[in-house]
Amino acid sequence: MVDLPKSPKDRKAALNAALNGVIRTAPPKASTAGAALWLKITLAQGLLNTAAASFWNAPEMPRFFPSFLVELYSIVRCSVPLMERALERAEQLAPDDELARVTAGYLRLHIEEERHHDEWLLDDLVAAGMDREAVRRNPPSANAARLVGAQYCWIEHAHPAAIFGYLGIIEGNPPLPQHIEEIRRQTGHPSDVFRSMHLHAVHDVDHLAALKATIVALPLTEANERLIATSAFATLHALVRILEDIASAGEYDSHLADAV
Amino acid sequence: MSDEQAKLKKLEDAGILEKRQFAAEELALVAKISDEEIEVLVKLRKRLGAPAADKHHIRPNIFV
Repeated sequence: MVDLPKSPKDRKAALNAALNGVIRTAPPKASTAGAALWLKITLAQGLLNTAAASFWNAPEMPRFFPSFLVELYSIVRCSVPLMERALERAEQLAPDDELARVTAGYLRLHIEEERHHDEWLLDDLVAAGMDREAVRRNPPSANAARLVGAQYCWIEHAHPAAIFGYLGIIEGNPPLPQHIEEIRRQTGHPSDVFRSMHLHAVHDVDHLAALKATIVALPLTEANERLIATSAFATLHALVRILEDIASAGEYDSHLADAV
Repeated sequence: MSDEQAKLKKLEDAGILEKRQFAAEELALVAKISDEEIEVLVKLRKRLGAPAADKHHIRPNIFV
């Protein structure tokens, strides 16, 4: 396990060490393939913003907000185990595969950055009046399984670097404090419900910068670049569907009923 | 019209890319986006509708 220092300067040093020189103080020049991949991810993020704007501006948003939190937990609880599997596969391939080495270096650090976020979110769900154990017992939704399961498929049967597509979309738009405050006001929930969101608003900006620096410098073949872009677009589709399904259900789905 | 210009126009017309938000070297990379990938983006844009104006602070908030 990598212990992450608190200060940004020390965190950067830890990042450099964990990546074993992949990202140095003067980062390696972006490859054309890496920069093109980041452009695709950026365009996909723009579409996700449109879906998100519809979601957050819906008049019924306060009613379906608890479902959003439960679905978010569904995804977050899967993410560290997913990255751990990608890391295992990357380490297996690393001796003969530079892309796998870079992937492993990035994941080694990022897994520790994301560890226990599911527990933070559970605390917020409890603050929103939900039962911790009932939420924990609730299996991940079909939509969460579609989102995360696709990554397992590519990790096992293609290349673990596919996960960069997932991370590029999912980490691509950290929440902003201004928006979190708007949601708090509209939903009427106490501020304790939004602790996890606020922590992400603070930390995910750094995460995104590190992720971008890594992706643009990835040693990519054309096939690998296409794979990661496909992973990003599939992640986008899955997230749009999640937002649409939560909004159209309006209230808790029956499978969530015992979680509240 | 070059391949790059044609792809750029398609993305702009569909409301997926705004030139002013990208540097020239980034725009040059549009040629690297395959026709199939552009189709995926255009289809999704059609399904989602136009981007909301003045809502730049709205973020997906699906984070891990």
